[in-house]
Amino acid sequence: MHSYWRSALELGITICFEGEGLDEIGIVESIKGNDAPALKVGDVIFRVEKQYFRPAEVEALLGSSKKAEDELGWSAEITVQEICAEMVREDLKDVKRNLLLKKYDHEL
Amino acid sequence: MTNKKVALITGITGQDGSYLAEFLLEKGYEVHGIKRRASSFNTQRIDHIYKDPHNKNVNLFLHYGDLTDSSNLTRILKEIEPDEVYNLAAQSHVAVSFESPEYTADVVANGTLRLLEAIRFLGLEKKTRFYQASTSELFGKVQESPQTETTPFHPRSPYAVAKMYAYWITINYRESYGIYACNGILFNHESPRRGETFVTRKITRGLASIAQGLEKCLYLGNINALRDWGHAKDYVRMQWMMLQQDKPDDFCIATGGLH
Repeated sequence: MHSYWRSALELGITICFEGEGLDEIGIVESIKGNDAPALKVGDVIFRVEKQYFRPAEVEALLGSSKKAEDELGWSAEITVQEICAEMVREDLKDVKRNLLLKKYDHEL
Repeated sequence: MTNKKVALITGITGQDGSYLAEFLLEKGYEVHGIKRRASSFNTQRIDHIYKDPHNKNVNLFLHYGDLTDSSNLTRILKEIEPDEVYNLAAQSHVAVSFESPEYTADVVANGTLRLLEAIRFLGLEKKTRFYQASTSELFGKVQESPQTETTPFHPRSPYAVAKMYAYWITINYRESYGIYACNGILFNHESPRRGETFVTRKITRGLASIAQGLEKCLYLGNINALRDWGHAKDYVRMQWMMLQQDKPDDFCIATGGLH
């Protein structure tokens, strides 16, 4: 499962997935905190859309940067959890700004 | 007379370009960037570091240009004679490359050639170091796991095939003309500045919108694809490091985690 769903946790949401292939759906399993006022348990918030599949898919990519580490002393410092959290927090700010505009009758 | 290093970034308005520009400015570089002309503003990612050129102590300069335009690239390179060129510009969206394969090939493959050829034509082979943004998409249908600098390529999209040309022409100009040219084979790297049509950003933005009631449901394609996700900010540091060595070489940049 795509790891970016864990960004939902940052909003206090857990999601369960049911079905397979084109019929797979994501359902809200639980909600904590105040970041998801529009949701209730049981809402379907994810569906698969056939048109977004590519003619040829790349299923899995996993890299080794051992050479960079050995020769240049580089290694990644920021974890995928931290990236997800940062991204969803920034998007939440943006969405809240848009909600405020909407509240005062500005078109988005 | 100044001994500031001068860098040119193609794709400066993109995710990596904006992080790299910040990084180089902090290192004391004079940074030049190429942006395409558009009727709507496309500089949101660098607005916070851009200063009016009429001010004093300005170190960031933007030039209109395009990787499809050789004379434009040659003129810009001639004017600024950069110590380092970072070629981050591309038609970078894999799915879109199936819709616009010819444009993708022109920008990604020929665009890289145009830059390298401009360096050669201007006699900058000994002065200008070149970084090419190569990609883990080169590995496509993977031949082994994890992928390293020696894993054979099997590109699976017009984007990846075009990037394969760019990868080899970079090595070819290094071997043929002695240009200090490097490929960074970067695995997926994300950030809040990721374009809204890439899957990670679609998910984080979609979740935030749904949680707040702006949208109801998120629709995606293949969600079972697994990737090695890093942060763009970490990865641009390595782009710079690659150009500071004694000898040019190619490196995979990844976290080593599959998610």
